[in-house]
Amino acid sequence: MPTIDKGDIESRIRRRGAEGEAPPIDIALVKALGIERKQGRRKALAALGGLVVVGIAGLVAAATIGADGNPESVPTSHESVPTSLRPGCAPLGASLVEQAAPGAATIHSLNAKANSALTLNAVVPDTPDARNTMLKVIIAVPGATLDVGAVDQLPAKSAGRPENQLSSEVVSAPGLGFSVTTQSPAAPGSYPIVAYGQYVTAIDCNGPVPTDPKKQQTGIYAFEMGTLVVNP
Amino acid sequence: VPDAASFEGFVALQGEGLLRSARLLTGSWHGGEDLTQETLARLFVAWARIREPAAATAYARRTMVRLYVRNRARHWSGEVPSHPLPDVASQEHEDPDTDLASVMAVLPPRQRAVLVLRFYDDLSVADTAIALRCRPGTVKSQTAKALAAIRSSLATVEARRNEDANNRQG
Repeated sequence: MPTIDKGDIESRIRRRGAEGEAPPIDIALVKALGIERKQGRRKALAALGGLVVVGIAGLVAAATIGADGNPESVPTSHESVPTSLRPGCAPLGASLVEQAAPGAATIHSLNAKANSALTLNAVVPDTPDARNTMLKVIIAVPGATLDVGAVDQLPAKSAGRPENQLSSEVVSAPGLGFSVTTQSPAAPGSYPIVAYGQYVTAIDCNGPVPTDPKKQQTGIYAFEMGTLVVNP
Repeated sequence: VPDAASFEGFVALQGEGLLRSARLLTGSWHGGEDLTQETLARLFVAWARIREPAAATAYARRTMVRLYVRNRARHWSGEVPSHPLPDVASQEHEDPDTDLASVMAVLPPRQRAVLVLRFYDDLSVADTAIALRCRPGTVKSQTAKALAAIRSSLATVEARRNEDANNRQG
């Protein structure tokens, strides 16, 4: 078997990095997103003043951006999907809001012994260039993986398989919020709250969603919106 | 000549380099564009607090790798093509650099980030450790693991290719 030395790998990485023509960066779009982030941060800070809920510390960490000079904590919210700036191809996202504690972040808790119920609203906003056509929210078993595709072809541990779901609900009205109510799951632990969604865009994401289905392209996504913590 | 002290100047001078690093991290131009634009947007928010262009570059690299590692850790599976993928062999598969890309794609995010920061961005072990918020020893061990994994996978791919070529000739 041939031996590949470190220098060879380094030079391959450099070549790979240098090859191809880099697409242009739309600086106006970058600035627009930055301004959006600033405004989001201000809103979060304003909301912070009125919050007296458990988990406030987590929200403070999210809202006092940059005070610690840590770029990772720079603008964030309870939305779980990074916003894309690729023109026309912004992926859609969904955010979770707990009815009992509006504004709380991605972690929601239940007491296993209390047989309590939790109502979450998942908000799935459309964007000018993409429209949600379906969203399914799943509370999956701990350790479930995220995969997309036909259910019978998903890996055994996939959150998309019914046997790995404690509960699930499909959004019937795209773009609107809806609720998931969960009775206390069986055992204490952390349960991922997973969103499976389907959306349409223009082909090549080159503008608003056309009304003609032949000119639309469909995409699907799966991501973890949050965590349901069941306390013993 | 772009003014490096302005945000626009910074993007003009450093944007392409950041985009190429992001492409190496994510494995595609699309992923690289998203990561770069998110990074630059955050840099734009923080620009008033940054006084030196060198600090802006370091800030942008730190933001980029941390965003990348964090997003990968969240298991974001991203957009997936809804059209069937072609099953014909691509000419690209004969390219050793394409082999590298496919081998890097299966590395854990931190190992991949270490390789890009050290071997593409030319960061020292110490600077890589700062960017990834870990100890220099961790950077060294992650580098060693990543190189071992790449070496092994590439050697296997290339040995198989040579074997196929020999079989075709024979």
